[in-house]
Amino acid sequence: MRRQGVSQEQADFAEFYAGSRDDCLRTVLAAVRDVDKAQDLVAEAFARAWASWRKVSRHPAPRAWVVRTALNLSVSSWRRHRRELPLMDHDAPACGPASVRVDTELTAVLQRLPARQRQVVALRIFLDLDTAQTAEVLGIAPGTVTAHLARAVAALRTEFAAYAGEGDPS
Amino acid sequence: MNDPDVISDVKASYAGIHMDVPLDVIVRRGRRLRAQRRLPGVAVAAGIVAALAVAVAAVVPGSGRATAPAGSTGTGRQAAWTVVSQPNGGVRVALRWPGIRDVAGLQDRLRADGIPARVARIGYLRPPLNVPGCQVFRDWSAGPGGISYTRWRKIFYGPHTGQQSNHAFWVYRSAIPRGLGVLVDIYYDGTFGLYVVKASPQCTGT
Repeated sequence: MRRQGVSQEQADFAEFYAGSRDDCLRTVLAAVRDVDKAQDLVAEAFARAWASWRKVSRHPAPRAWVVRTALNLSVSSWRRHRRELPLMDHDAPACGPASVRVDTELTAVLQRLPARQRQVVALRIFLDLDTAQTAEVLGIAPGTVTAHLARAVAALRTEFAAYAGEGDPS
Repeated sequence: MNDPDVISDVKASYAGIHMDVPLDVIVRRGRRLRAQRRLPGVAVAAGIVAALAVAVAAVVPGSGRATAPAGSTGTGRQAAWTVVSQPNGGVRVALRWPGIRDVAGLQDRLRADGIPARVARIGYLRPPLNVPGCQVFRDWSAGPGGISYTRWRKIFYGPHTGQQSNHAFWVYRSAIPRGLGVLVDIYYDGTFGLYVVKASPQCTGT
């Protein structure tokens, strides 16, 4: 009986992982701007979700829980490594992993936004969170979310329009 | 450009990004996290049990010196492992929960019984089978240079059939071919993996 419960739990988690891993990765990537790091953070966050699956599965927004955990891990990791010397672009990989095929021009536009705006945009767009949920995940007021989102979308609109204009031969 | 267009453009720009980490890696790591989380409670419970045992031993005359099983570490404390040699050439090793710290003592004991053995603990920073100095036969293979399941079974099961216990195992030294040895990889909870390795001074001492 207990065994059956465990395998059902694992099946539920497997379904959750399959259905949300890419969106969680995209959301965290928008915040941390490094694919490998984002993947590590999201993997660890999912592992923690599985370790606490009974609690997380009852969470109103489990994907938001994963993203919040990954972002917290990112902050902890930054605190641990902030004394390391930055290498700037010298050891940047020449190309990303095979699974990463992004429109780098468009993602660069998003990356230029301030960190909080990036996070708000990512949570709203990739996880479809509403204002209240986004505010809860980021630990900020709903009004602040609305303000960040409005500014971010306005900035993106301008940048995307310019990008589209550059690509237009006419 | 209106807001829905902006949103769909952002979504499209990330559409090629996919998570590569397989589910089983996540699940294994999650299980380890769960186990680590349980450890402090287990340690407290073990401490309480040990304190009670010491108190009872001090109060009740004649109960303080439990007879150490044959082949145990013989330290006077409850042994974390026992090794019992059998007349049929087998050696039975029992590991006592909550895991053993004295892996070197067990390794010495097995080697003293003529078994080229390496005993190692699996920790968070050392994944299973990654034992320095040891060449491990990770999979069963009947081909040259491999270890067949039959051979592995003869070494660790001998005449026994069915499953071994989670906390005890057998080693049959007469079934270990020349040049090979055994690796016992022990998890913190006393469960273990049994593998065949190439014998070498660095790995098995011979």
